[in-house]
Amino acid sequence: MTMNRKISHENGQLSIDFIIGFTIFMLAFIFVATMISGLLINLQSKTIDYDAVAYRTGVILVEDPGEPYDWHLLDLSVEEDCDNFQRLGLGIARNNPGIIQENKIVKFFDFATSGCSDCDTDQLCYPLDYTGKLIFGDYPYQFNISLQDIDKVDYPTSLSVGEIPPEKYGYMRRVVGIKKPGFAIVDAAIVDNLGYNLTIHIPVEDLYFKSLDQTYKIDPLTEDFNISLKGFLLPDPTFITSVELFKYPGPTSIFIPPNSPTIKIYDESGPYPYPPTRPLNGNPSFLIENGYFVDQNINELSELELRIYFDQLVGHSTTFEIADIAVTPPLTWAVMEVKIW
Amino acid sequence: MVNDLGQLYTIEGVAAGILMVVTAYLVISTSTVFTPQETHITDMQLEQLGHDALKLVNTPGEDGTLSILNQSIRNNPPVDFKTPFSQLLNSRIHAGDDTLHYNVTLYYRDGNEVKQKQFADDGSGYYRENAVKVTQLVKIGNDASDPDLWDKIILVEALIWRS
Repeated sequence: MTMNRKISHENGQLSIDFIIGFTIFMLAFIFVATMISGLLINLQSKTIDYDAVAYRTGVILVEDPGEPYDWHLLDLSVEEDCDNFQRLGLGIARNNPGIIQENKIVKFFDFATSGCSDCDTDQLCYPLDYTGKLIFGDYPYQFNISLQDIDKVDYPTSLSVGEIPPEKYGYMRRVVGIKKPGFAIVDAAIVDNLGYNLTIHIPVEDLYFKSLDQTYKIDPLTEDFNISLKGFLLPDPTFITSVELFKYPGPTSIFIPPNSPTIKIYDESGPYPYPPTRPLNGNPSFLIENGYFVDQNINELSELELRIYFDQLVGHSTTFEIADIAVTPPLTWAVMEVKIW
Repeated sequence: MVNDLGQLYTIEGVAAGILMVVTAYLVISTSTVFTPQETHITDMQLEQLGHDALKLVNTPGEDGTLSILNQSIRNNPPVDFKTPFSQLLNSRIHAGDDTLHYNVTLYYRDGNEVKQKQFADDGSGYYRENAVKVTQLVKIGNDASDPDLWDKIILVEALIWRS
């Protein structure tokens, strides 16, 4: 074994090829490394964006009453009302997030589809009103919004607006309480002496301020209010001859228009024609539709009297007080799903 | 001696570099990398849903009555709480029920001490899944079945996770 090794002057030196190759590799590596963070943002932005839009839409629907807060009372076929309508929202009030209003739900899921444009009919226009007043943004988002009560009693099939969603979409689920309109049941058991008419005293102030919490407030101004008669013995046939509404002090007569919003009469056969063309079937109920009071300039301090005239002895000769017996139904729970793509 | 054996030619280096860049770009652009920062999106959905559900059981159904949560804390054991809370968390409209689980603990102050009490769970144990916590406050009078809770403000904390 020889210890003498010939030492070359070029051993241990880097070749120019290697240096060039390594430099290119390093440059490429640095280039890719700096690009990765930017690439990820691009990759993720779509799903994140859709989820974020779904979240935002859910918040607006569930926590915001809309702009104006009583947008469901607007007549969207009137241009002035239509111009005032800025934003959708189902909430009852800003301070009560998570509680939504039944009358707004009805208006929200009742929409016109084919060939509608803004300020056409008194209905929301799909998809124009939904994208412009709820989802916002320049990107043409597609959406599907569904609502169903948890017990599937009020809405056995879910309410829905929008297209059938594709496989991937931004998703948000909220559980909410639904506030239903107030009602009063006038029980014949409390009635003492019979008469041809029934006079019901409606102090709007007492109803309105019965509960200070918006969640349980009886609000005949922005919500429906239903007055049902119960246990009255109606001789066959009995007709309702007239229904009148008066405002105090005065009393001054308030106009009851033939078309909504108005006061509607129902009995066991369904809507009761007014002026009457058939006898009553069972005890009638009187639905004061949301927006009727506002249209007739009745406010929360007004005092009203509803007079119902029959052609038989069924009524009550003294005035009936409604403030004590009016209630709001208990909240029902519902699931709302928002899908955006 | 330097010869051309085992050497990388410049043109090959350039080609290899381009190849690497293209490969890296293709790999990154076709796969979705879910970094830890982005899990907050699903967390947020869970947290919002949990908050909604706990708030609803803490809202009385009618004016002047007690909420389900309040009633259940008064009358331990909390049978009235479990079914509605589970239903609120898991109900879906189009798909079948979700698979959310929960574990609810009560916290309250007793003098200078903060005490805690196990309240309700849905029977499935928590094994360090990705979970969120949501809270509500409940005021209990002096008619609860557990005298420890009399006249206390209770922090109800629900741990919620998806299995």
